Formats: sequence, structure tokens, C-alpha cells
Amino acid sequence: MNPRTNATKLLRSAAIAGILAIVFVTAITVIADTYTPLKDWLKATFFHHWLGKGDIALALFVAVTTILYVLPQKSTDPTRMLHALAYASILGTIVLIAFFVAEAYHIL
Amino acid sequence: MTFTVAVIAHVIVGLVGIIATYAVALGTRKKTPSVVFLIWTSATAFVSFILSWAFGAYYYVLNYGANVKPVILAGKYPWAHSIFMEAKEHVFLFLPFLAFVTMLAVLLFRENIATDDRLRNSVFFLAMTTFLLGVFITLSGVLISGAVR
Repeated sequence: MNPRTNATKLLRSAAIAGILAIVFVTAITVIADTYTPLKDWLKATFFHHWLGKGDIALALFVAVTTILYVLPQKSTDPTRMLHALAYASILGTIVLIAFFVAEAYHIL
Repeated sequence: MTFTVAVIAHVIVGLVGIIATYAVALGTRKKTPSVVFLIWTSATAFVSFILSWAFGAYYYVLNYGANVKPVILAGKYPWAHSIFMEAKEHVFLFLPFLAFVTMLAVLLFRENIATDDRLRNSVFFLAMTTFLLGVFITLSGVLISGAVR
């Protein structure tokens, strides 16, 4: 496999892993704030819920990057995934802000 | 390390990361981007966000919850914590991943980035998004600091 193919595979894998890490952080934040046992579990396992979210997101990122890099990939263009990663972070931010506003004003 | 030193370090190193991210975005817009400049600025951004994460974690986990959060919630601006701190602390977790992928793109495609417009535009968009999220996080921090007083 040529170096350019490896580079494309690695970058796409990392971008997809980044998207999943962002989706995970967003989802677990919303769920843990609405389902107390999950937040309690994070605190008990990782000392603090925020540390747990970061640690699991990091582990997920490393694992997904590695797995996707090893698997065959059809696409030869990493740029779409870079855009998708940026959009995922924007969407995650909007979801989190909306959730905390709704929670603060008891809309939920 | 005192908590004051930790929060100051968190802010300063975080700002370095945001400035470096903006530099990456600007660097991709040049007619002939300097690959060395892009590598250094993207690496600086990534390392800075990691360090800011570490300093912030020390302050947040060991001090903020017990000593600062109750003051804000009992004060005139409880939404500074309920909305802005809560959003900030979680959006912040996005930054190291965004910065790492940006740095990876620059490193892996350093021979192409000057001539590949699609790639340059993608790196610009990712870096600019990271920068704007960093600005949101910084302004939220300013709000929270004000609410404590």
C-alpha cells in the first residue's frame, strides 16, 4: 500500500473517530444529567463525572482510529470527513447549549 | 500548585491554543502556505489544548465544584454556571480531538497542502470552527469569572 493511501486512511479514521468522540460526549452529557445513576457511576468509577466523559471519549477515539485504520476503506478523499468533523462539533455545541438552557429554565 | 496558578495557567495556555488555531486557519489562506508554519502552529494548538485540559481539570475537579459553583448558584447570576459553565466544560472536550485531526492533516499531507485546494479549504474550515468554539469557551469563562464576583 502506498504512503498516500496510508495517510488518507489514517486521517479519515481519526476524523471519524473524532466525530464519534464528539457524539459520545454530547450524548453522555445529556443522558447523565437526566439519568442520575449514570452520573453516579461515572463519579464512582472515575472520581468525577467530567473526568470519566473525557477518559472514555479519549479511549473511544484511540480505539476507533485504530480499528478503522486496520480495516479496508474504499474512499480516497479525507476532506469530506474533515468537514463532517467540523459540522459534528458545531451540532454538538448547539445541542449542549440548548439542553442546558432547557434544564436551567425547567423546560425539560 | 495552587488553584489560582492552575486556573491562570489553564486560561493562558488555552488562549495560546486558540491563537495558534487561528494562525493555522490564516496560514491555509495564503497563496503559498508555509508548511513549516502550519506544522508548528497546528502542533502548538494541540499541545496547548492538552495542557489547558490538564490545568483546567485540576482546578475544576478539586476546587470549582466545592468552592466556586455554590457561590455562583447562590448569587445573582446562577445561569453563569447552569448554562455557560456546563456548556463550556463539555464543549472544551471537543477541542483536543479537533486540534489533533487538524495537526494530523497538516503532517500527513504536508507535501500536498500547498497545491491541494480541497484539502486546504477543509483544514481552514476545521481550524476556523475550532477557533470559534475556543472563542465561545473563552467568553463563557469571562462570564463565569464575573459571576463569582
